[in-house]
Amino acid sequence: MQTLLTLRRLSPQGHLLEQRRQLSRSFVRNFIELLYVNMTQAGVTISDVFGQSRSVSVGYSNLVTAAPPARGLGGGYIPGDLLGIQVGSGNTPPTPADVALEARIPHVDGAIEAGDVFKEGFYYPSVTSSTQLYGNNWAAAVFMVGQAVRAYKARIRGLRLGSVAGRTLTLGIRAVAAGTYLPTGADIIAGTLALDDTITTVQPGQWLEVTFGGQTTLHPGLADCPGALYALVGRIDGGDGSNYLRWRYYTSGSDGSYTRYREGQYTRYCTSGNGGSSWTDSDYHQMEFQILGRYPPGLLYGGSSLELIEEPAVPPPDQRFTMRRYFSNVCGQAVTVSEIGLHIMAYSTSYYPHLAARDVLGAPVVVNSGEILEVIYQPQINV
Amino acid sequence: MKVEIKTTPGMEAIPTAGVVKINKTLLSPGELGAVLEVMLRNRQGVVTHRQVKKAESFVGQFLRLLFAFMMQGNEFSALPGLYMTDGGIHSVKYTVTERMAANAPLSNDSYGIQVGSGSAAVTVGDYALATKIAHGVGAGQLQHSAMTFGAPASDATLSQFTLTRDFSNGSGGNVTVRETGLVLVHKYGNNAFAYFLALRDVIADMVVPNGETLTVNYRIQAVV
Repeated sequence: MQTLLTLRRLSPQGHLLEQRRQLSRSFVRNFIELLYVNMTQAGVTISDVFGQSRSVSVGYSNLVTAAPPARGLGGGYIPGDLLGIQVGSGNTPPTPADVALEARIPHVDGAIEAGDVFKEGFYYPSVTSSTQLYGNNWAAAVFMVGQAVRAYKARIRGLRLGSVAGRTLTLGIRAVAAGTYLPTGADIIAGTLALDDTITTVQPGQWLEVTFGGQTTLHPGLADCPGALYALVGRIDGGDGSNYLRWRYYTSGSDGSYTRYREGQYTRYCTSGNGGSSWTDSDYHQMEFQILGRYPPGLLYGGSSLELIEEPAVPPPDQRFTMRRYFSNVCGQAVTVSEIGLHIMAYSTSYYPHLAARDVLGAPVVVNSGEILEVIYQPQINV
Repeated sequence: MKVEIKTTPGMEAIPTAGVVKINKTLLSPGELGAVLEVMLRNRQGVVTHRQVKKAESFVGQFLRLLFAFMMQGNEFSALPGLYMTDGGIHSVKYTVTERMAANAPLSNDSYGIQVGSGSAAVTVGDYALATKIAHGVGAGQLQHSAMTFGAPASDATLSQFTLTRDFSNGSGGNVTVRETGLVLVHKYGNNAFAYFLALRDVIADMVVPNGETLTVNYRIQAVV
């Protein structure tokens, strides 16, 4: 069985501007492993697209690749853009060991903003509880974004007790250790704010904002997958038990009573008493914070569809079926596509996306603003 | 002592000691398919005849099964051209776990690797072997072992796993094998099974004398 890969670049009016066709090189080892699971009814251990090792066993929706558009749940478990045909900008030739696209292009459904706007966060004005930031007493808000965000700034809702004059607030985004809700590593990006005693002491506090020294793209994912969780870590230099910054939080369980932006989620509140060397987490407090930024360059993922078996009147091939997905460029700037992939579902403790196929294009395709990229995979057999 | 090993055209002569391992593919880059290996062992377990070939292709039933499960189709009773091995049409569901299993147990000749005596050319519409050889010790029959599997492995360009089955001749006479196939089972209820052909190959006549064993390996491969 071979697979024909076709790319068609369309104008906003749907006119064909460019067409590429090549034989796919693509089925990777993960796909062979999933065929093995089905044929043997035995389990295997493979990595999902986030690099997380999964013990995959037989499951109802193993091999599913059909997906709804954008962030609708595919197969009832996985956001649509993480399932089905994928696009990326990597160019390293495929190998059987590939478990993800080299540089996946994110789903983006809006134009890149000219300035920074609210993208993710939580705020509940009527609460009065807070945690203390001073010296080695740090805190973090662990969260997921609902869509890809290019982070430029962050805010926390705070007020002071005593004096914080001359202190510096640092807010940094850190990764979260796989399988935990705890911040790990150094700041990916960070920014600082000089504090003084004009900061209010009165509830409901005020927004304290930092501008990050650089930018990073925060990607949506699945709750227990590496790279899907981020930690906004807050601390100030100095202070003591009578002079500190108060970072407000809402005291509740981990239910849905908090405010979310898009499909993002707030997942944990973490504290450290040793300057970030170690952390403890709790889902009982929801820190008040905001991430401000813009859309990154990306493409709007349409639904990934499958079309019934056809037997061309003039073979070859003898039979084939078609997988198709449209990607619209609404972000406002050109996006270059150089790799194509296929994500399918597989069951371990839940369903996760796994790479089934990956191809690098002979030459990249530049999708200009307003244009549409149609990607077609056609598995076909010739006896 | 001089030993002669009989061969037929297209076959490789096998040394008297050891088993020859296949660590190569006959597939082209980008292909998903299978390599078929058929070996005859004498009473002492020595391989005396061997055929290796690229499998013809997955037949249309496999493509339909793959389509149905990639689609997460609930019922595919209307999926055109999906025929069971008995020629009947049956729906497939995604809400079962044994959707395309090949793990046939000892003596079950309904699925897993099968052998037959037919020689009709393979077509994409094949849904069964032309003339299946049944399990047993009667005339023209072969005893089917349980299916066994080699775990997936890969190198820089190739991923694969192996399906294996032994067919032992206790019939008292020769049995000639001319075709092989792989049948998958779809279990849709208690003791309710539907069988679908995934692969079929026609091979050069392989005569299995009484007391000897035919081993069939299908090596499912993907090449980047």
